[in-house]
Amino acid sequence: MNRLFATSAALALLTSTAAAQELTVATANLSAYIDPGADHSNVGSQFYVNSMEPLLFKDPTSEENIFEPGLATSWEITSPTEMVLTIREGVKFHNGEDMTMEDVVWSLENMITPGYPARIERSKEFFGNITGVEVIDDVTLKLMSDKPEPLFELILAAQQAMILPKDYTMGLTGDPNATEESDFIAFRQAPVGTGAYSYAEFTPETRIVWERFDDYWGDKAPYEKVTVRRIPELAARITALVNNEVDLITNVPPDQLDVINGTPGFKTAGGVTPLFHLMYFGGGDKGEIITPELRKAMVLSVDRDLLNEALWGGAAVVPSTHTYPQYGSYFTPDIETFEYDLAEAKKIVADNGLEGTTLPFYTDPVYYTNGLLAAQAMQEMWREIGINIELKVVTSWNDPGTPGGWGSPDQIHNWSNPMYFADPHGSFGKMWSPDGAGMTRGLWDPSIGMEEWTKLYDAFRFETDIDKRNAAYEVLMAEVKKDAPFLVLYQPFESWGMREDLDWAPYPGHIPYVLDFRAGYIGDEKNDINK
Amino acid sequence: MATIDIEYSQAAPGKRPSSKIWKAVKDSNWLIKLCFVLLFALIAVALLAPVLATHDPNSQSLLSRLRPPIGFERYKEGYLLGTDELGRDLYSRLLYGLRFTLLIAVIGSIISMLIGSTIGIISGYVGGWVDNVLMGLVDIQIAFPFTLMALLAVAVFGTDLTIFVIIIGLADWDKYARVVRGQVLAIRDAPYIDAVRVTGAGAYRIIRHHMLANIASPIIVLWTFGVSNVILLESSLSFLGLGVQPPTATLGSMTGFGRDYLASYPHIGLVPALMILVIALVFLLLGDWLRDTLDVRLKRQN
Repeated sequence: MNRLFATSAALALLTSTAAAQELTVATANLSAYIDPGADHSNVGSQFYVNSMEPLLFKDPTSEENIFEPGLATSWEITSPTEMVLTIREGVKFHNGEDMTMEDVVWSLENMITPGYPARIERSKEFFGNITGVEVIDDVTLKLMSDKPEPLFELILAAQQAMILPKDYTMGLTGDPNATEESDFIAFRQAPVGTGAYSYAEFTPETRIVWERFDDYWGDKAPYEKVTVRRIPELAARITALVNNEVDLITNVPPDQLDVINGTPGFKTAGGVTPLFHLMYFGGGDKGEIITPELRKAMVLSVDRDLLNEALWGGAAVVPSTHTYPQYGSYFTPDIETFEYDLAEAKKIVADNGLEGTTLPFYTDPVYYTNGLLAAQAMQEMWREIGINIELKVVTSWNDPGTPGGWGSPDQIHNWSNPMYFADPHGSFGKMWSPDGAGMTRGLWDPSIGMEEWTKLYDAFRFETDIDKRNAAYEVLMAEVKKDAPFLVLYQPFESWGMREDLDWAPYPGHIPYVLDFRAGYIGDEKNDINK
Repeated sequence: MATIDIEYSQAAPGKRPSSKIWKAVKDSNWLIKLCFVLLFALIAVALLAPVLATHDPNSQSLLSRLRPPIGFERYKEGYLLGTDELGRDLYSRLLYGLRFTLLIAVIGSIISMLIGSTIGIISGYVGGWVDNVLMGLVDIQIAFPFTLMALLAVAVFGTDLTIFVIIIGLADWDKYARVVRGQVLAIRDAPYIDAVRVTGAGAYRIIRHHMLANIASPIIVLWTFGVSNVILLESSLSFLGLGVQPPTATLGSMTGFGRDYLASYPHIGLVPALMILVIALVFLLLGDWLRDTLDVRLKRQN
């Protein structure tokens, strides 16, 4: 089979004509819209950094939180609740307009108090503690928070804090002097930013074409054109790569690495991704079937190490709790939140008469690498304790209002908790804080009550002493262990397949899945591009 | 009113139809004989799947996934055709998959046959505007891409086995309706039907006792083609993920899941795909032969 691939690859090389400085990428998934302020998906995160920019950059090559000037040239935290920034001059948007203080203020205000409903969740998660912005002069800006904010820089370096053009967006529909919901809806399909590449074409869920933005304020983009195509089928993606139809492909599971690495001229790059795959119980306690005991038994009966060994060849990372090494001093691997205890699980099932319980498990066929395989493997593990799972493979598995959609009760669902920034608030908090996405969607009703949960959460969130903050986090994890609202499975080992002469790999300092093709972040011998 | 029972359509009394078929089988070429053997073997294997299977088709052995069939390196003892992406025994899944696929195919094609023949008979017998309306429906069905209809039905009703069988059953009815209507039209005004009519027989009696017997053979031939069509349809819908949900094995879903491993572990997809090929071919060849055998006009030409 490898020989077949090699032959077809050689043939394709012979027949293809060299195009100047172009890159073609095939992704498993492609966004339905472009709006950095509303988006938090693993799919969307791939497509922002090349074209849109926040005030602060975070060094993508380092796991540490190292901040660099972005659309702000300097910044200072003047008090625990205040940060002052100097805005970069000479920045242009892709439509030719200059970026001004007005654009910055408008962009931030539309995250702090968004009028656009699709941004409300992101606003709460990232800007919940930010109260407003104040213009000091033409280039100086002050950001204020309610409680002392230890995460000012992380928030301003996030995708959700990217700066968008005010006049352009407001002029898209209706009154050009007013910010309307329809403006944001129109913007989603015709996005404009300040980044190194402009969006020359965006066909939702199908195609993105980036073109070098000649008026970019920083180092010019290395490629004239980058085309991203969606090829959801893994086999078709690999075939497209080895036939030289594309230069780079995403989402290659470990059991396919040999196929690519064994084909002359191709290689893979990848690693453990700062993201957790997990399963949760839909609708919290609002259904009739799922009880706290059932959750507990189901969480205890999943052998995550076996899943890792079998599906990821042992290359994924099975965590003991909801924590990442990137948290630095806030990394808490000693906490034991998720355990495998089949005997205890069986006992809970027997004691509570849960045997024979039947529940649906909704999953997309391709969204998560190995997602459907993991679902089927867990189905067997739960059968072991007498719980029957009916798998429902549907592409609409996340649409609200459909069976299995967000918040619909009495169902099992797969999900992921990416690390949006390197702090427990940037992953666990993003999903499970009182304002987190999981809570907003009603996936967990803490047994201690929401008021008490908010108190516990805030005690962690705004603590500045490392040891006290870690202790407070341990208290939160104890609640997770007690209530078992979800089970973190593992950090997947994600790989990308590519031409052998491409020098590219995902960057540890980015959020997961970012396709960074800016100057200095990709090398390409064929196109004479040095990293 | 008294009715008079008369003997009918016994043009060549004496021989029983089964003995005629047996003679035809004996006279057929080796390929047809082989097809018959294969057909009975497939049915037997499907029926005996629980006895013949060496493993539970859904039980996983996660650490032994992606093992090749016997004779290859890394073969695992006891897993004749190897294991799939979740370490399930491919041989056992093949047997159960065959069973499920045949069951769906037979039920689905019978539904098609019943719906299509009923509509065809009504259309041909009643005629007039009823005929126009029903044939209009047939034209709509033919013009409408079936996969799209299946997608729509799955989107609205969900992926449930009953729904799936109904969708499959609705796939082919138009073909039966057209053929049966034509047959009914051809004999509707035949002298022997007129003769029955003057005895006072009602429509039901005429259709049930006098027409059906005469149009049975084209329906049977069509049904054999229908079965192979439905097998392929089940396979393609399951391949697209619209069919039977995992972990239940059907030949189509097995092929579908195997496609990701075509380059690395081709046996996972190839084994069920070959099985689909064999069944479809057996039904098609037998259907062809049955048509040649039952069609008097073809026989005369030969």
